[in-house]
Amino acid sequence: MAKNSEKNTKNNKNTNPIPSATQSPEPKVSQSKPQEESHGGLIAAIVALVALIIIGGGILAFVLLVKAKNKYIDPITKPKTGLEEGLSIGTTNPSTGEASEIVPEIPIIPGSTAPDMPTAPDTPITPDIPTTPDIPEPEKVGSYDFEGVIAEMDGAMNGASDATFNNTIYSNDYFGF
Amino acid sequence: MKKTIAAIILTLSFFAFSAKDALAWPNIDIPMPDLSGLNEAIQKAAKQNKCKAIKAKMSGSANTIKSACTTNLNKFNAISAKLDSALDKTEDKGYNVGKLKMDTNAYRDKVDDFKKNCDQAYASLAFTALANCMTDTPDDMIDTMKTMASNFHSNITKTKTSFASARNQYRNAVKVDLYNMSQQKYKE
Repeated sequence: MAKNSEKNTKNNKNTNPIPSATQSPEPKVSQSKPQEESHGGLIAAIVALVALIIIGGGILAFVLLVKAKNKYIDPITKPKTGLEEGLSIGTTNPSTGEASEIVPEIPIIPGSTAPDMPTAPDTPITPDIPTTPDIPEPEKVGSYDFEGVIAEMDGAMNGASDATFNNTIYSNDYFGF
Repeated sequence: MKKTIAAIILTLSFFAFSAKDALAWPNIDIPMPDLSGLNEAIQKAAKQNKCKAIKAKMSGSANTIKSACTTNLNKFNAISAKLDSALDKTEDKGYNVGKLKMDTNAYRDKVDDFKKNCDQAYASLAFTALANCMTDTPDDMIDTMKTMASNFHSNITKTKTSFASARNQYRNAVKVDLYNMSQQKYKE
């Protein structure tokens, strides 16, 4: 019996039963469900787009930051050229890189030269004539009266005499032996 | 006339008497004193006098040598002082004084050598070192002085040589250096 009833119910399902008049129809419910689903998809799409923009922007910003960082060279750790090295003497400590004693700049007054600095020649140097480097002339010795000193010493030496030291004078006959 | 005859007779009688004594001389016995001691004393006195004469001569020579040494040393030292001054001044003025310094030091060494020989020559004739002639053996004293004179002779030769060496060092080295320095124009 039970098996038959089950078969009947199955058959009923397959035969697409007609709803009875007593059953209340639910048209609103069955019609509003697809609208909610389309709104949710739109929202999800917008959220996904925003998230994509944010993530993409973040990646782009990261890439740009990395590129900018690679281009930037620290002026302290950067290897210096000879000229920069010479210019930086006295301003930074080469071992620590820290700023050291500040060397005051000498103000350059227009029309004047620094002390002990050679002045540029007023006459223009013709480029055709090869200029030889100026060899500094050796310093001259001071004046001294050599002739006078020699004359004085000659006088003293000429006053000396060895005539007394003549051993031929002091013979046995001279002494009376 | 009478006086003339008397003078002739007196002269003739004198010659007659003298001739008689002269012929009889070898037979006359005259007593003579013993002079042997006197001779020794005379000889000793003679040797003492000779010793004193030599001593005086040597003493005079010692003083002469000493005076000559002092005079010459003063001249040499005056030159040394002038060289010191010249070295200081020329060095300050930028001259090259290396050679002059070296030759000046050599000159001083030679002057010192001269002084040493002078002192030795004087000492060999020094009065205090001379023998005392008033002894009983003047011969020994004379021999001693003869040895001293020989040493003096040797020392005076060295003195003369060292004098010439110092003088030549000045004339042939120091003076040449000064002349060469006078030609220097620039500092080295």
